[in-house]
Amino acid sequence: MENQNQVLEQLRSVFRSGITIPAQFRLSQLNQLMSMIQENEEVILKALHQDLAKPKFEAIMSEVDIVVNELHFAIANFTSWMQPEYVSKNLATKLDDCFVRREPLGVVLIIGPWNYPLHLLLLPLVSAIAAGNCAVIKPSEVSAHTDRLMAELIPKYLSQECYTVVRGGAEETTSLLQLRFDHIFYTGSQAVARIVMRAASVHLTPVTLELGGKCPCFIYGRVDIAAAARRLVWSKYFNAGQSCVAPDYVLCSPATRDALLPALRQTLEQFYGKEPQKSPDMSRIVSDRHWTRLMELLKKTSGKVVVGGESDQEDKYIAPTVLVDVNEDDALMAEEIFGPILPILTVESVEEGIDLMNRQEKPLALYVFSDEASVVNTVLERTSSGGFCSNDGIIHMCLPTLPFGGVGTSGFGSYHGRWGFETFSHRRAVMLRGWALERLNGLRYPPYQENKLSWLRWTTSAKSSCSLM
Amino acid sequence: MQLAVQRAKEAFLSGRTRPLEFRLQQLHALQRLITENEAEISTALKQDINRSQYDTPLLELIGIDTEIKLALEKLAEWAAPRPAERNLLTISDEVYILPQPLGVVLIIGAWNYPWALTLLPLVGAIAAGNAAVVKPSELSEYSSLLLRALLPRYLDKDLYPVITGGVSVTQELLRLRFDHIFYTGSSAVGKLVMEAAARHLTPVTLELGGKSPCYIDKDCDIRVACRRITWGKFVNCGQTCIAPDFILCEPCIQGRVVECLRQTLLEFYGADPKSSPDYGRIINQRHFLRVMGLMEGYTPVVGGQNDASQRYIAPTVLKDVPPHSRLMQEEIFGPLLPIVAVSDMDDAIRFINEREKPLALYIFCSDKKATKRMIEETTSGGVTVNDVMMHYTLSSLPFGGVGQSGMGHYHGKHTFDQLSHQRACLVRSLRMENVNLARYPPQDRRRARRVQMALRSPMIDMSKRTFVWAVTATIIGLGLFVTLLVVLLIASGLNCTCWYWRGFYN
Repeated sequence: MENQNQVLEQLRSVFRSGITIPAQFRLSQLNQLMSMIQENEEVILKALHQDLAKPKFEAIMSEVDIVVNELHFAIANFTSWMQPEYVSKNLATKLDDCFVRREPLGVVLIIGPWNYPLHLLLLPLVSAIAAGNCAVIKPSEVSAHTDRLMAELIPKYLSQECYTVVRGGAEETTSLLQLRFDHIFYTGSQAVARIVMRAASVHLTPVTLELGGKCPCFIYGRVDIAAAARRLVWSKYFNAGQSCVAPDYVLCSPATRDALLPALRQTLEQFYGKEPQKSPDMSRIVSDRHWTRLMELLKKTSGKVVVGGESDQEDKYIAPTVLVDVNEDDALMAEEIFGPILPILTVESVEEGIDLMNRQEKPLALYVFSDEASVVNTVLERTSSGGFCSNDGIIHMCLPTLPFGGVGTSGFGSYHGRWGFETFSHRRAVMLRGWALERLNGLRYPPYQENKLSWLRWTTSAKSSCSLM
Repeated sequence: MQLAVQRAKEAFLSGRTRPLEFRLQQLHALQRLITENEAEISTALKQDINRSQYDTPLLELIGIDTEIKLALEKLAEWAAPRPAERNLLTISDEVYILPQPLGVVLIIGAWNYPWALTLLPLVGAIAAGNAAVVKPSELSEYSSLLLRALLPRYLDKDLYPVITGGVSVTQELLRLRFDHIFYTGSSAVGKLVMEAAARHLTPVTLELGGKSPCYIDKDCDIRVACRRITWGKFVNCGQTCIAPDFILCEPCIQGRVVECLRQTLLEFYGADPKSSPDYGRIINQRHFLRVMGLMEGYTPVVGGQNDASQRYIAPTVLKDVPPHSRLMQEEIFGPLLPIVAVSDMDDAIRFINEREKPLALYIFCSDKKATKRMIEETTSGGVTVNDVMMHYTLSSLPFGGVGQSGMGHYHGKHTFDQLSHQRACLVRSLRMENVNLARYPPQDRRRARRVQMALRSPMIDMSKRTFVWAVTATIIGLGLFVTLLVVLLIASGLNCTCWYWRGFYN
C-alpha cells in the first residue's frame, strides 16, 4: 500500500509539472502505443490464445484492430477535441469571450477485465492519454498471460513517468482503491462496481462503470431466419459467449423458435464444423471457476438442451449450446450467462416481449431481429438499454462515433472516440469579461430600486435573455 | 414516503412522460407556478434568509424562468435522435444517438437559493422525460413548505412528489433506489450521497462547493474590480456556492483594495447595513456561530459588527490573513472577506494549486496574456475573468465542479443531457449479407483483411491534409476545365466576339 501511495504521488507530481498537456506529448505517446501493438502483434496474439484460446481472427478483429482503429481516430481528431468550444451568448455577455475548455483530470485509474484483456484495458487508456492525463493501469489477473505482457510492454513504449502498470489480485486492487484518483474507469461486474464506487465516494472521485447485464435478443415478425441465425450465432459464440454485449437470451414466438433451431444447427456446423472442440475458431472458457459456474447453470436449468451440451473440464471447453423451454424464473435467467449457452424463451406478442425485457434490469445492449420497422421502433421506444442494434449483434460498438456505455445496473458513463476524451476531461466554463459597460452592471447593484428591477426584467425578457444570480 | 416514490416510478413506467407535449405542458405549468406566486415566494424567502424583495426575482426567479423558456423552445431539438458518423461496414445503416429518460430522479435542493437550486434541475428532469422526487432543504423551512404546497397544484401529482423533512428523511430517501441523484450542497454530505448511490449503482451529479479564489492583479482597474467583487461576495449575505471566498493580491495594493471595498459597501448598504433592506441574514444559529468562530482572533478592517438575535453579521473585510488560519481552512459561506497577500501572479497560481479544486476561479487582470496563463496553469469548475459569478448566468456554458467541488454539469441543454441516457442505436437490415460473410468463421487471411477494411473508421478522413488535398485538387480541376474551354473556343474557329480576344486576331 505504501508503495502504491508513493507511485501515485510520483504520478501526481509529474502531472502537475504539466508534461502531459502539450498536444505533441500526447501524440507521441499515442504513436508509441500504436507501435507497441503493431510491433508485438505476434506475442499479443499468443498471450490471448494462452488466456482464452482466442482464435487469431477474433483476436485481431476484436482486440488488436479495435485498439488500432481507436488510436487512428484519436490521433486524427484529438487536437480538434482539445480546442476551446465557443458557446452562444446572451444579451448581457455579447461582448465577452465565452467558451468551454477541456482540461485533463489528473491521475486516472483504469481497471481492465479478463474477457477482452487488451481492448478493454487499452481503449480507455487511449482516451486518457489523448485527454492529457497520467494513468495507473490495472489489468485483470484472471487473464494472466496478457496481464504479464502488458506489464512488460507498456513501460517499454510509454513514458514510465506518466503511466504505470500495477499488477495483482483482489487485495492489491482493494488497497489501490483506497488511494485518491481523479477518475476511476472500471470495466467488470456489478458486485465489484459497487465496491469501486463506494471507495470512490470517500474521495469524491468520479467513476465510469462499464458493467454487463443480460442482453436480450428479440426475434419477431417477418424475418430472414437464415441471416438472423448467422448473425446471432456469430455474436453469441464469439469469444465463447464471454462478451459483455453478447446476446444473452433469445425471445421469440414458438413458431419462430421452431424455424430458428434448424437454422442455428446449420449455422453452427458451418462455422465450427461437426466437432467444435476441434475447430480453431472456437474459444475456451477463461478459468476453471467460470467453467464450473457455467456447468452448474446447465445442471440447475429446467430447460432442455437441443444443441450442444458437451463439455471438457480439462480443456475448459463448453460446446455451443442452445436450450428451449426456459422460463423467466429459470436459473439461466437469474444472472448474466457469459458463456456459450443460449436459452430461448417464448412469448406470444411484441407486448409480452417488451414487458418481459422491461422486468429485467436494463442491459448493456438490446437486439431486435425483424424485417418489420414497426417492431424495431416499438421495441426501441419502449425499452431502455446501454446501446441498441437491430438485425445484428455486437457490431454497434465498433463505431467510435457512438458512445459505448450502460444505463441502470449495466453501468454509467461512456467512451469510444470523442466520448472517451470527454470522459477523461473536465469541461471548464470560462467567461472573459471586459471592464467596460460598468453602468449596465450597475443595474444589478444595491441599493435596489423598483425601476432598476423593471429595467432588468425588460432586458431579460428578450429572446436572448440573461439570468442573474 | 416510500409510497410516493413507488407511485412516481409507476407513473413513469406508464409512459406518460414520453410524449413531448406532456413535458411541454408540465414546463408551462411550472412557469405559471413561478409567475403567479412571486409574492408568496418572496415572503417565504424573507422569512427564511431575510432576502430582499428585489433580490428574489433577480437571483432566483428570472433564472428559473429563462431556463424554462429555453427548454420550451428547444425541447424538440434536444430530444431528437442525433445522427452519428458511419464507417464502411455501416454505410447503409441508420446510426444515431437517442436521448431517453432515465426514470425517477431524486433532486436534493440546498437552502441558500432554495428555489433556483431545486427547480433548475427539475426543469431538466421534466424536459428529459423523467419523474422526479423533490427534496427541498429543511433549513429554508418556509420555502420548502411553500414548495410542497404549490408543486402538486401545478404539476402532475404522481410524477413529481415533494418530500420535506430533515436529515433522517434524507437518509431514508437515499436508501431507496433511484435512476439518478442530483445533489446540491456540501462536500461532506456529497460523499454520503455518493456512497448511498453506490449501493444501487445510481449515477450522481454533485454540485458542491469550495473556496473560490479571487485574484486581483496590481495593474487593473481596482475600483471596478472591488465593486464587482463586493456585489458577488455580499449578495445573499455571502451564502453563495460561487461567491468569491477570499482575495489574493499583492501587499502593495492591499490598502487600496480595502478602501475600495469599504467605499462600495457604503454605496450599496449605507453606513448601517443592518438597517438596509437589501442586506440578508445568516440562515440559522448554527451557521451564525460557525461564521463568527472563523473570525476569532482577527481584527477586521471593515465591519465585524454582529447581532446574534437577528443572525446579522456586518459585511466584513480582513487583511493580511495567514494561509493556515481557520478562515482559510473551510468554505466561509458568510459575509467575511479575507485578503491573503501573495508576492505575484506565480505565487497566486501556486497558492491556488496547493489547495482543493474550487467551484469557481475569479481573475481580475487587464493583461490578456497573463490571464490566459493563469487559466491554463490552474483548474476549477468554472472561471469568470474581470467579474464574478457571471459564468453561472450563461446557460450554454456547462455549470459544475471538479474534484472536491463536484461532478457533473447542468444548465440549459446540459441539464437535459445529464438527466438523459444517450442510447447508441444501430439500425441494420438483414440484407446485404454478402458484405458480412467475411466476418464469419471458419476464418482465413483474405476474409480477415476484408473485414479489417470495412471496420476502419471513420470513412471520411477529417484531417487537414485531406482537406488541403481536396481544395488543391478542386482548383487544379477547375483550372484544367477552364483551359479546356478556352482551347475549345479557339479551336472552334475564332468565332469568339469576346473583347479580350478581338485585338489578338486583328
